[in-house]
Amino acid sequence: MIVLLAFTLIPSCDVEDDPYLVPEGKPGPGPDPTEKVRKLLLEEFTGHTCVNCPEGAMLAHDLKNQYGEQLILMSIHAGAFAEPSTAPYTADYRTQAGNDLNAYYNVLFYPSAMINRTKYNSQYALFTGVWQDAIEALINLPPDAHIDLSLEYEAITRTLTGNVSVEFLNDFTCDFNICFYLLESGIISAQKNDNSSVGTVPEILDYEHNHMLRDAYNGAWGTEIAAGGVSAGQVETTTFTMTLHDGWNQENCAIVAFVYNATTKEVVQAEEKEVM
Amino acid sequence: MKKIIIIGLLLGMIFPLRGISQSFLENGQVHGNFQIDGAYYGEDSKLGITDSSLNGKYFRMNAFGNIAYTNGNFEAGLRFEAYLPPLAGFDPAYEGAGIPYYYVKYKWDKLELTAGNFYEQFGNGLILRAYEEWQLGYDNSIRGFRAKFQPVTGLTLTGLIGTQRYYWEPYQEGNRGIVRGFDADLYLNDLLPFLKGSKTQITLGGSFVSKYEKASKKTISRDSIQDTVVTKYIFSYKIPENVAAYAGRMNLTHGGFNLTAEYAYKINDPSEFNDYIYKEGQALFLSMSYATKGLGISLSGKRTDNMSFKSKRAEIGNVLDINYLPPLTKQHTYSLATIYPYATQPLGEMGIQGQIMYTIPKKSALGGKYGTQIELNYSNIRSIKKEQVSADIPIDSTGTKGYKSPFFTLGDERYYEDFDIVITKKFSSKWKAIVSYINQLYNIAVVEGHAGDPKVHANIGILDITYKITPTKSLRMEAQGLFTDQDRGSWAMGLLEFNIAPKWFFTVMDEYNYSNPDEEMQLHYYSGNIAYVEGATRISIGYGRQREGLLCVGGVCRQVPAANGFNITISSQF
Amino acid sequence: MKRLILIAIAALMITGIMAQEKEARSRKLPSVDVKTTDGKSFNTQDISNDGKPIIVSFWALWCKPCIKELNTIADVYEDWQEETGVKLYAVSIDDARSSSKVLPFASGNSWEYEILLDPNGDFKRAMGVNMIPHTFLLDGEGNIVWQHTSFAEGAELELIDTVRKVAKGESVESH
Repeated sequence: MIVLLAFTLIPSCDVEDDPYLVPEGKPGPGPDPTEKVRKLLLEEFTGHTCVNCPEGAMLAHDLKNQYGEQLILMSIHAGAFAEPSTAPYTADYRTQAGNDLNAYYNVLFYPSAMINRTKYNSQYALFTGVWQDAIEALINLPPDAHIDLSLEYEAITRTLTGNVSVEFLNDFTCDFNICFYLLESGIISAQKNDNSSVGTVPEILDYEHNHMLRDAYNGAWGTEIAAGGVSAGQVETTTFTMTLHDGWNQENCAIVAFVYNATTKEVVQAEEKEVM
Repeated sequence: MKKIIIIGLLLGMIFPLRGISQSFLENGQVHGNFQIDGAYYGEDSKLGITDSSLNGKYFRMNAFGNIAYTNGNFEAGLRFEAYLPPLAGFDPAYEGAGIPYYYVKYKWDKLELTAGNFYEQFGNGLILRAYEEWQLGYDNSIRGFRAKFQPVTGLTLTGLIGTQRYYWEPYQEGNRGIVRGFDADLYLNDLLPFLKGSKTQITLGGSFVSKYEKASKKTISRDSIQDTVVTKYIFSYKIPENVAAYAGRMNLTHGGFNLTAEYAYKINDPSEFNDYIYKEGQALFLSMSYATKGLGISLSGKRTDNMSFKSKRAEIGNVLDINYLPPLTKQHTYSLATIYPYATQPLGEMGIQGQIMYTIPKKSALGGKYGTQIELNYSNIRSIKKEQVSADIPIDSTGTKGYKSPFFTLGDERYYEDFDIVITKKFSSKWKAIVSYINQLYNIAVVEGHAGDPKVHANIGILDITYKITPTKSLRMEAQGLFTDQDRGSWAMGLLEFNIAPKWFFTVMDEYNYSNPDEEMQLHYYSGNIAYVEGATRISIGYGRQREGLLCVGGVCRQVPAANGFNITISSQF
Repeated sequence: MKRLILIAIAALMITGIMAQEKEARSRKLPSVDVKTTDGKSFNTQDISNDGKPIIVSFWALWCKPCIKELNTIADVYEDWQEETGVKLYAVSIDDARSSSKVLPFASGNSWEYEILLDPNGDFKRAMGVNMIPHTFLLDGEGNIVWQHTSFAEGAELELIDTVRKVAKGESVESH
């Protein structure tokens, strides 16, 4: 019996040779704007006193470089590490929607991210090591919906109006909600860091925060867009209006619109568009 | 499949027990033990604990119950655990209740087989140690099969295969790996005729452990710049699915002299923990000691290089470790001396530790009537020296070999140093005292991840006096002081313990952080505790404010958050 | 499935308790492999003392009350041995971090006990020990007749009283 065990152990090692990285070519040119592809939403929970978060943001960016338009990033500042603290961490980037999501999904560690608010290995909030695995599990699936988003920004009143048209590509029996989140990039503010390959340690004073959640139309859970099921080819349209606060730079703002299954809360399709 | 067998066996035991077999009962025995740790948390504005941060979880409980049935050579048992919800500081992913541990074991003359969950250690644990530590919330038991075979006296062979405990997650391909191990332990004095009965005793051992985890796609993008044109390329990592580790060990004893050594080697194991570098891992553990009546001297040395070995590549938490890297430093017991505990750095560290334990004989000038015990300890742990693999690859670059590390060169960074002296003296049949001085250097940035914080230099003084009021009533007083200019500043501590042997224990204690740079945090962490012991049962109730800290057992640490409230512990066995 | 197991546990516990009441159940030491300070493997069933009482005490270098207990007993151990012939096995549950320092510490403290090493806690678990110090007393036939956890100054008096009773062959309360 032991002999059998011993035999199972002998072929058990894979020593890899240099080079350890195999080139896979360049990222694809991206889908044709008219082509309908599945786009995933990556919502990262972060905070400015979280020392491991710059590494997480760097990973999210790297994944965006590889998956291009099919991956849409969002940074939610919530939880203990997003609390305002002593200078230079006096800023408060938390939002009601972000706090609600942080509580609802019981986020316990930072950085963590949800991919399409879908469970991977029975967890919603995932640690960095499995982000790519969770993306790979979904990214090659055919799309279930297509979102067409157009925006109009009125500078004096700082009002943003959006028109969105959602085309469902398959039959479904559930209800669907749609959310419009306003994100701002290019916010320069201090960030704690403990990885020297990402930036200065122990903090990066001029860290650039990108795709930070600023506001959500109708809160974290949005509004209903289709009730009682849909059939393939069904198109639903809706509009929304949001006002940008004075401190937000409209040139760096974008809207992320996403449709989700009202029962399971899983995201079906996402879309992103810059304000200007 | 395994679950059905085990339920079947358990059920098979109930029916004969309920029915006629008294004789079965005579040979069979049922034993168990359990412990319930409960806490009721309250608000504490000074610590920043409010109703909302408690989130409705006022009462928390960690509990377990073990039960085992033995009948001759047969044994079966299980452990039920409940974390409803887990106490503050324990991993919240443990919330829930269930049976994470069950097994069936049978022992023949030379062979013992276990099916189900088991704990095991190969040598010093450098490549395999499955164990549990309830105070730490640590459990990496292996669920599978284990066989222990002793073909001849002096030779023990162990083989095992299984998956490790991962909170409450059942095994699924892709959620963790499979661990296989083999160990041989040889006691040469029984195997080699010329050594039989010799004063020199030699033990040799060798082990082999490998893990299999399905590779998942892992890619990274890199920029390539040519003539100011930046092109992005995608690279994928070659992930080894089978990672093996080997270890060899030796133990030599001659009279009072002992030498222990173990060396472990692990092939490339790119993981989230080491940032996907392909360097092999090495660990060396060496210890020499001399012991004779009244004197004990020990000197240990250790070197660890890239030896984090988990059965899940993507995991960075305190779970799924296959091996155990013992830290070298002395485990302190007095509370202020445990504010800055050292934790093993699996990615690289090297150090030495020396200890002398001496009893000044009774009735001598210095020793006094009862003798005096003196203990001296020194330890020094540093980083390993990392050098570039080649000129164009920075150290620790992901997707490369990472770094080179010459074996005998000391690293530049100091991780931990301590020196301490403990003197224990019994003055009379009523008075006993322990006096201790400790000097610590603690690299808080590396050990706790507080990047940028300066190293903590602390001087600690401890006085522990026991006064026997009557032969069974005693009073113990402790006074401690920790003096430092870094981190949270200095502390003073006082404790009073009144015991009525053998059943009652009354304690009051206060730790005062008197020179915290933040005046609002110059708090008293007071607490009181009453415990009652009857045989194997202990019931303890306490109330107070607990300081934030690290609880470390054997080098594995758990963050303990500051808290305020009641706690109760009930522990017993039957 | 869980309910079946819970029924099984309840049944086992009930029958176990019933068995305890029906006959003077003798509990002996389980068979566990531990190590001696020489590095040699030692099976706990080989713990013996020629029919005289045996004390098995679980301790560790980091457990102050355990060291207090063993130091207190060390002061009177010779007297206890002369009177009752008792032998004390001090089982250290220190893991690989400190197990190499166990013997120097014990020798440095002038302890005369038999030191055993249980680095992975196998013996501790098999004996149902939750917290240390935890001390067991075995009679001449190897039955566990008494046990106690925690230590306070003066508790050793109860222990030696119990040892005296056992040495004379009297029965003692199980707790």
